[in-house]
Amino acid sequence: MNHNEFPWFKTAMAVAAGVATLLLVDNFFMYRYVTDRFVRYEGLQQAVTEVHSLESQLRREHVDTLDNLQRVLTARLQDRNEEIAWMIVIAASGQVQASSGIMEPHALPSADRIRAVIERGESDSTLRDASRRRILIALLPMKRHFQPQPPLGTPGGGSVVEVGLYLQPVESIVNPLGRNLLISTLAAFLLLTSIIVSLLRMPGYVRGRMLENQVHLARSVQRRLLPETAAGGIEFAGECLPADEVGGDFFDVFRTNAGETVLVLADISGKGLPAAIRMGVVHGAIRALSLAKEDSGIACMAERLNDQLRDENSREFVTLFWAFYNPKRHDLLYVNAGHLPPLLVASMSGEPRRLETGGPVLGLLPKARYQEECINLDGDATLIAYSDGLLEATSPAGEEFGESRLLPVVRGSMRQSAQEVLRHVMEEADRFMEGGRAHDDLTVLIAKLTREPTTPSQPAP
Amino acid sequence: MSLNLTTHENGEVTILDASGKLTLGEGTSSLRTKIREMVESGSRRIVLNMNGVTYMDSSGLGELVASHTTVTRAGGEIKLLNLAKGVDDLLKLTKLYTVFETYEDEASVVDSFSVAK
Repeated sequence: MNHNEFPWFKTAMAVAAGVATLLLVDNFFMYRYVTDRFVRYEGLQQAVTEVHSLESQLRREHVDTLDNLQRVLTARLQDRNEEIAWMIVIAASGQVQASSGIMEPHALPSADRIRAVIERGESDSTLRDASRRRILIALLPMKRHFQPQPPLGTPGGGSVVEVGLYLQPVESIVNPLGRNLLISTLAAFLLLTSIIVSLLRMPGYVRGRMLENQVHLARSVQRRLLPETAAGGIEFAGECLPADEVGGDFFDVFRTNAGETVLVLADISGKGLPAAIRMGVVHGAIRALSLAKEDSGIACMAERLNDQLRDENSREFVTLFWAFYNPKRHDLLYVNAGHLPPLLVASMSGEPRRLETGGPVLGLLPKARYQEECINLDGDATLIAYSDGLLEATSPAGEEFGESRLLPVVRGSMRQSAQEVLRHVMEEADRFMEGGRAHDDLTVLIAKLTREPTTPSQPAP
Repeated sequence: MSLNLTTHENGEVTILDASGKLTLGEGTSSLRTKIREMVESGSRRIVLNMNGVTYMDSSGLGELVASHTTVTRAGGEIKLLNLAKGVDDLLKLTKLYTVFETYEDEASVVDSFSVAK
């Protein structure tokens, strides 16, 4: 198969895959960005509040020595180790004045950063992943001044507070956003998966479609192989409906050089393409054998066909009804190899006769023996041969069509043409199945056996 | 539903109890494998009890005949027991019943082996 087929489909799939990947990547960065922004903002707010609160406490309690500062700080952080990791007060000189909490290993702020915070009054924050949770380290200015530190505004004066805060997960701060991100990530991921699956399955699908086309062609070939109404020199009508597109049933009507009409209806076991292929072989073999018919009869022809079709490990077989009608002698010579007995209705009696003489199905048993029967017909007769699709056509109620349903149709149609009889049989089968499909191939052949007017110069042998 | 196969011994006879559908695919291939295993492990007197086989298609029928060929070629014998009406009808229609000895109870099929010997 050409894998460059359906370029439009593959292009569209590639574009969609690109979009889905883009969406996934974008979602990832979006998540990082939102997390950073929201979490940092929230954390910083909390740090500012914390420092304000500390400063008002220091003011209220007139704390102005480093010893007292350490005491206050220790007291503040007691029982709050879930929120605040640590607090450190650092002088402009870089000297730690007081500290409390569990400190994650990190470098203390450089003198430049401290000076920047003190001089501009701005805050400064960094995020880091700590052993427990993410931590925001905020550096904030402090207005209070402690002995013997030079006061704020004088060189070397002022201090900063470093607060280490445990961060809340972003979902707890912006819940709808978290859900949104989760859903869109999931959607993009599923989209990408389905595109990949589609692309992987594409060649198989295309192959399947091409095979379907081939089978469709095979079906029309099979239909063309069925005989035309004018073939064989007798009036007949037939229908062959495969359960799948193609099937293993066939019928054939043709005339030999000796002026006999050959009537064949066969059912190859199995269904679909394998049965159809084997059907072609069987059909050809039967035609060849029929045209080379010898006086030794047709039972030995069935034996030869059996040998041809059989091999050591055969599991497949053929059921066959094979008849030679001699219009001059007005007799029917047949062999039935395990096929449903066709019905022969002679208009004189009106009662159908089952054509059962023969032997086992073809292609299974070594050295199978067959018998033939020759029926001398009095008046006109109608032959109805069918495949088990008709008998086993299942109705929605589960019962089988059965020979008993076929008989009244056949008896009542004696004065009708082959075409009309066929129509009635098919209508009855259709009605029985109520529009459902046959489980097996369904084949019917109706033939009118009418004596050919003999001229005195051609007496019957 | 596929084909369920179990075996039990009755004297020198191995009885293979089948139930389910003997149809193309799982059904036929599991019967094929089982028969091959039995023959390889030395079973020569085999009875296929079809009591639980409710449905058989043409491939199942073909497999049945193939089982017969396998066992016979190994010098053994296979007989059928308790055929459902549909299966029996199919054997008669296809005129394959001549291939198999069929029985309706375990005792008589087991006896039939010892009479033959």
